[in-house]
Parts: sequence; C-alpha cells; structure tokens
Amino acid sequence: MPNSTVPEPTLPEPAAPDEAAAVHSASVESASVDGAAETASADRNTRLAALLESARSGRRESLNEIVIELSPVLWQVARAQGLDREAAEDVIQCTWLSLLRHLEQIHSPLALTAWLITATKREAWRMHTAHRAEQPLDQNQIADTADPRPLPEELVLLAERHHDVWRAVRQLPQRCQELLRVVAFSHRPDYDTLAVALGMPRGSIGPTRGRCLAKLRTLLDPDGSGITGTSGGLA
Amino acid sequence: MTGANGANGAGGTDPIRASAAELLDERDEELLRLLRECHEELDPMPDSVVQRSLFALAVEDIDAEVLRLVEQYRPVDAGVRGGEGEEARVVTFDSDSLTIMIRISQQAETVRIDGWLAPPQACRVELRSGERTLDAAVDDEGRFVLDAIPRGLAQLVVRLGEALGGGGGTSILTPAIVL
Repeated sequence: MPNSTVPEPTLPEPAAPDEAAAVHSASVESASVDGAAETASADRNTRLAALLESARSGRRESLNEIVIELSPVLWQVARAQGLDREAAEDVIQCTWLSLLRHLEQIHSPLALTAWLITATKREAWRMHTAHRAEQPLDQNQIADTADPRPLPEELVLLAERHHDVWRAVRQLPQRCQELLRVVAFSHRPDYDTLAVALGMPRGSIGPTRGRCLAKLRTLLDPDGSGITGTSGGLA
Repeated sequence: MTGANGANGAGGTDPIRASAAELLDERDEELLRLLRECHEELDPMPDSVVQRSLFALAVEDIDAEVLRLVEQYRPVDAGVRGGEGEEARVVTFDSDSLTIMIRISQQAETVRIDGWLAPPQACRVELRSGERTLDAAVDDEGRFVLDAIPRGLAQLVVRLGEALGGGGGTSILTPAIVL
C-alpha cells in the first residue's frame, strides 16, 4: 500500500522552517486551551531553545542533552517507517552526525525537530529502498499493510488499561497510525512543523491529526457520548 | 471535529488562530498519552541509541561528511567469545563520495580491522575508540590496517588529502559501531 514512502527521491535537505513557524508556535501557546499541559510544553520549548542556542555556539554538553531529549521521537519515526531495530539505531545515529554540519542553519526548536524528523525519514526511506532491491519480498511489504487487529502478543505485553486504545489504533488507516505515533512522542507546539516533516501538505496537518483522533475516539466510544462531528470520512 | 469552536473567541479569520483552535482537548491528550505508553511498552527505544549517538558525536570534526552503514555481514553466531579467526564480520559504509568496507576480526583481547576504501586514494584513517585514538595510513590502493583495537564502541574518521600525521583536509565519519 502506498504510504508515505512514495518516492521522495529528493526530499529536500531538511529545510528549516522559518520564522513563521516560530511565530505560529508562540501564538498557539498564547491561545492555549488547557493551561497546565500548555505551560509544560512551553517550558520544554524554552528549554530546548536555550539548549539549541548553546549547542550552536559549540557546547557539546548541550548538544548531548538535545540528543537525549529528542532521540525517542526519532526512534518512533524510524520504526514507523518500518525499519528493524538495528537499522533504526543506525539511521538515528547518522541523523545526529549529519546535524553537526547543519546546526549552524537551524535557529528554532521547531526547525530543529522538523530537520531531524525529515532527515530520519529520508534515511529510513533510502535504507528501505536499498533493502527492497535486495530482497524483493520481505517484511517491508508486511510493514506497509495495515493489519486491523492487534497481534495477540502485543496485547499480552500491554497493561489492561491500554488494550482498548491499542485495539482502536490498530483499526486506523496506516497513515493515521504513523501520524499519531509520531505526534504522541512530540509536543504540542511542534505539531504543524512535524506534520510538514511527515510529508503532508501544511494545510492538511491539523485537520488530518484531528480526523485521526476523532476516528480513534469514535472507535473507542461508538455512541459518541457528547462528541460531535466525528462522523468524518477518513481517508 | 476540527470545527471553529474556539476560534471565535480568538479572532476567527487568522489562520494561526484557527489552527490554535484545533488544539487538542484533554481527552485527546489522554489518548495520545496512552498511545505513547503503548509504543513505549511494545517498542522501547534501546539505551544504546543514545549511547552510540553520544559517542559518535564526541568527534571533533564538525564539518564532516557522514558515511551510512549500508551492509553488514555477520558470522552465524556473532557471539563475543566464539572461536577466533573465523569470526570475521564485514561492514560496508557508504556516502556520496566514498565507500569503505571493513573486515573486523576478533583477536585474543583485541580487534583487528582490515579496511579498503573506494575510490582508492592515499590518506589517513583514525579510529576513535573509548580509550584512545588509533590511526593508520591508507595506501594508494585504498587499503589500511588497524590492529590491537580495544573492544567496545568505535568510530572511523577518514581524513582525505592527508598524509599520516598531517593536518587539514576533508573528514568523513562513520557512525559508532560495537567492536
């Protein structure tokens, strides 16, 4: 199934989103709905901005903290692309190494996250195609096919309280699963930028995320207790 | 969903405001948190991701090209304490301008690397390992040998256009691998 691994042969050098993105983030924060999470998110953003600034001036300790902070997101990105664990690890490491060269041009936490995700995706995609060439039929094929049911061994691993969510998530279209997986490991103000990095049109990000979540809620709560407008046709 | 609910209070036409209106509510936050926990449980990021990345990033070359690991051949049982000699592992790295193939063989306490780079050119390679940095000359045919390497994480740095002991020139890095 053609998911986001449609040929992006020249996915641009992870382009740093511009000032607009930063402005956006600030506005998003000021228009916050629920304060606490928003504040935590803003704090994190501020912290990341400071780390970035310091890393750009050459402090490796700061760069190390960024690695610790953002590697989990990249792990999810690489794995959502269908890489095995070992390959995901290699790809993430290369992403960080490549960042050394580009740090100079990256000015905001948003741009940083977007750059890292794009670079990881691009590498994952490249590795994917290399693999495909070698082994025409392999697990990559399987990874692309959404299986609507959770695997029994997945449920065994998960705590009871996660079962419903996981069952519902597994019924979502592959693209939604991928998007939500990355979003779940990101932080609010980054969403739009993230989605851009995920290769989706800028304008469709919010709505797509919204539709994926709405669909998920409908699956979890078919009677729609109080949730309106969730009927929406999912692509 | 994704309605305008929420946009009205904040000046509706502005696309930024409109987007802000699509912020998640608490229910969404909760769902995403649960989803995150699911993924963490099912597919946890191994600590080695950060460890290896930090090791590799400790390199001094900021403006270096990065080689990616493209192929790896391991002997059937890549056990650490297996029989010596037979245990060669072959790893290939690749970048836009360079390919390096290394053969890693285990010795008593240490590791030996026989390497070959293409296109062949005389230059210098360094191997950063935990305790020290070894280096070796690459001959005209692109061959080099690094011997008595301590086990553990290691990273190759190729310095093009550089004779042994010289300075300057372009650098190319590999990711850190476990020897």
